Amino acid sequence: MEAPAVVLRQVVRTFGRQRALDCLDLDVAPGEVVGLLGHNGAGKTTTTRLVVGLLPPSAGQVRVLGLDPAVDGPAVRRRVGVLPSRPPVDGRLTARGNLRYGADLFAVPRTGLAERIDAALASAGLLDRAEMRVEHFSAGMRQRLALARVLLPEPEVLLLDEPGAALDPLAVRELRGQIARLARQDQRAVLLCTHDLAEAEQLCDRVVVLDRGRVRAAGSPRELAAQLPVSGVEIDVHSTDLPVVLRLLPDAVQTGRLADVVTVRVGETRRESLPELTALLVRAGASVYAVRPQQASLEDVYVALYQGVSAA
Amino acid sequence: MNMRGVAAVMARDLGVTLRTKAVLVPMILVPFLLLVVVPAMVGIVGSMADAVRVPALDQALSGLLGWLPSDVAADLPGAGAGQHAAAAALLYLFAPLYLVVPLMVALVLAADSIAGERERGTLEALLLSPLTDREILAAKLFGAWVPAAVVGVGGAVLYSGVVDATLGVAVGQWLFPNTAWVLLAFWVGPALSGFALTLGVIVSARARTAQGAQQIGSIFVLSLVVVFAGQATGLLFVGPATLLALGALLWVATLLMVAGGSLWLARSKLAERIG
Repeated sequence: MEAPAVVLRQVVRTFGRQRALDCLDLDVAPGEVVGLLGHNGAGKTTTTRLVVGLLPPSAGQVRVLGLDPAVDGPAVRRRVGVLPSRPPVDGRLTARGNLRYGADLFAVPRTGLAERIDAALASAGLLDRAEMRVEHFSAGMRQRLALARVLLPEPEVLLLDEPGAALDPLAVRELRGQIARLARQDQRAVLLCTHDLAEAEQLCDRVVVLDRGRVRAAGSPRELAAQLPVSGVEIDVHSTDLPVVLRLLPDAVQTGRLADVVTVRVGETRRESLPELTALLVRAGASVYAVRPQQASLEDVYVALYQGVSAA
Repeated sequence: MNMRGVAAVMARDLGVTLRTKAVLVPMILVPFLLLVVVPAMVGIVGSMADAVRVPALDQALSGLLGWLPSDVAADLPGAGAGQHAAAAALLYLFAPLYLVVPLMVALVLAADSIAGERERGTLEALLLSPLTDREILAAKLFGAWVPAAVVGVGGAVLYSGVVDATLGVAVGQWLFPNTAWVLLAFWVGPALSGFALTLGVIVSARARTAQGAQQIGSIFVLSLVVVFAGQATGLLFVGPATLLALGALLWVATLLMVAGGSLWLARSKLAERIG
């Protein structure tokens, strides 16, 4: 993996006596999507603002593409695209006017700019509304336009704060595909702040869970989930063996049947005990066709973390 | 300096101003009333006053003229007391009122500069751009100062035309241009605009809404009312020397505030207030 595009080391940020970030370590490499999860006020927005030099850290080190945002803010911001939670488009301008304004602020080369703006509008599905003032746009249209504007200068690093908010399910799906392409194909480093845990699970290579400015857990969604007990196990056995299974596993519940195969579900189980469980059934003479542990989701991890159950 | 970015912010602010009725209407209506309607009425009434001789009115006008500083009385051979009084009002008394125009335009635009962006949710986008703090400040100041200066100078030209077309024609002498008004239009007016809008941008950076910023900034207008009262009572004589000094003072104060701009328009401070 390439050297990280975004590096935060032991970063502290205070507002008065309140610590918004407390010794935060974070890396985002090119081609990687890192999710920043946490409740409101956990420190996600503060983190993105530190990365673009909008706020200086109170302590610690921030480096973006090798630059210190607090010192080289304009140079960093030229190479970083930020989509804040509130779409930063000007309602008084047209869709095209917003993109042109953004292009001027970021000094996007004028050669071929009109074509690039048309292409951006087309990719946002707004080409037919290019001359309409944005104040008449729906929230979803504004969000798509904002993303188009962020991508127009072709930033190397993307900071996306709830990008799927206000989008309909189809647009969300399209957006996720776009984010994945930007990371995997175009090798952009993406930091994704989201409350949508399914989105994080699907998109992120790694997630960092923040709680009041501190890292509560970090790793790939799979790694984090693996630290929790499996939420359940589905076992397929021959229908004639069902009484044996129910005798050995009193908590088991039949959940399905397909011809001679019945499926039973057993509740939360420690991962390490699965081979033993299978052997127990086989020894009792049951014909076991499949054992499927139900993997804990990122949502389970998140809930467990916030309920005080140690997942780390 | 990222001139393209600065020009983009200025052009957008100006373009939006010209399309926003709530901003544009007072920017046209107030100057029209103060610099066209009022001087036209005074000029017409003044030019006709001597045709209808009313001894009591003559006496009152002579008294008024005697009360004003001697420098104020325009040298109008053959003109009566009414025409002299109208000339004194238009050339001297209305000078502070004229300054309301560039001041008001500057305040309206300055109030909208940062607080308006915050209200519309576009401030964060501006702060997330590669523009430096000084470039944002320059864009906001020049973007408001240019229209304020244009309206101010244009207003003075219009005012001069109205006065010459009414009273000037009646007395057979051009009353404009004169030194005091040239200084007002090209020196004090632009300086006052610069001063007011720099202070207005400071207020705007701290106010939550553009309306709040306007209310705070409108305190300025009161200072002009005081000057007007001083003029009307003869207590304060704003002649060319005073105007030169006043303009210089305003420019120096403005430059000092701009120089300290990075202290009060720091990105981090604005970002903290976005929420």
